[in-house]
Amino acid sequence: MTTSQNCLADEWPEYKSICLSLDAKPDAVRGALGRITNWMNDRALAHETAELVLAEILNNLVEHATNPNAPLINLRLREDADSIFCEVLDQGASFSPLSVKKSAQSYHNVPVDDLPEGGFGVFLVQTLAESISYQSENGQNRLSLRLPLTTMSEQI
Amino acid sequence: MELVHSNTGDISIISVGEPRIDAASALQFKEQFRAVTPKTANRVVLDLEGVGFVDSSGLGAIVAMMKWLAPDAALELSGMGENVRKVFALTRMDTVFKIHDNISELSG
Repeated sequence: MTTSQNCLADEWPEYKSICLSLDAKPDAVRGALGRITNWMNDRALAHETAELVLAEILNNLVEHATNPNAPLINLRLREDADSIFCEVLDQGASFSPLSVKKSAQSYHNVPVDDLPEGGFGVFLVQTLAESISYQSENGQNRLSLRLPLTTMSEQI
Repeated sequence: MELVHSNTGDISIISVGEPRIDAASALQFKEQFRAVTPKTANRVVLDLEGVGFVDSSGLGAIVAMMKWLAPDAALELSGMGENVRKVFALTRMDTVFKIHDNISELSG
């Protein structure tokens, strides 16, 4: 389930922020992405990059969620001058998107059997997001990043 | 996850009737694909017309189906929207598939 929350902290003024709480489950992730998309559409912002980056981050949390007692993920976005500032809080297994460096390569001559079926998510986050920061302390994980306010076509 | 199989000449076309191939639906996509696609077909085209969102799980699922069809067929893609094309381009996975603009472009 995904629920909207009041953004209570000063850093997240209601008029330009959205705060959500969601279960660490695939359907709740879809729900959260839908709300984020609507929020960005309402602000006339291109949502494609945000949707993809947040999908990768949230799906990763769902996949590695280990703590049945604290399944909730907290997600906050704020529209700043040139970017969307995002913060993701969870209490699952610690995993930083910066811990794995993956480079894009041409797969043109790679045998079909050797093609990768995973690992793209971290690459997409590192490629599309900026100012990625990750802290893990006392079982509480905090990921923050910025999404530039451009469309994906300008980033390729 | 609704996938529909049709034939044009000797080409098997698998049409995706869902707007998203993502973490929530990747497993069903693979299961349904294997259920409706003749494994020994010479040419198989995955028609992504109407799919507006593919994430890394969806991408991985599509690659898995390419591997499943090999070596009898090399999975081809068609009808990719802008959003989907960008994900394949960013990850360089567009170098792996033969890509068509749409179904009517296929030669029989």
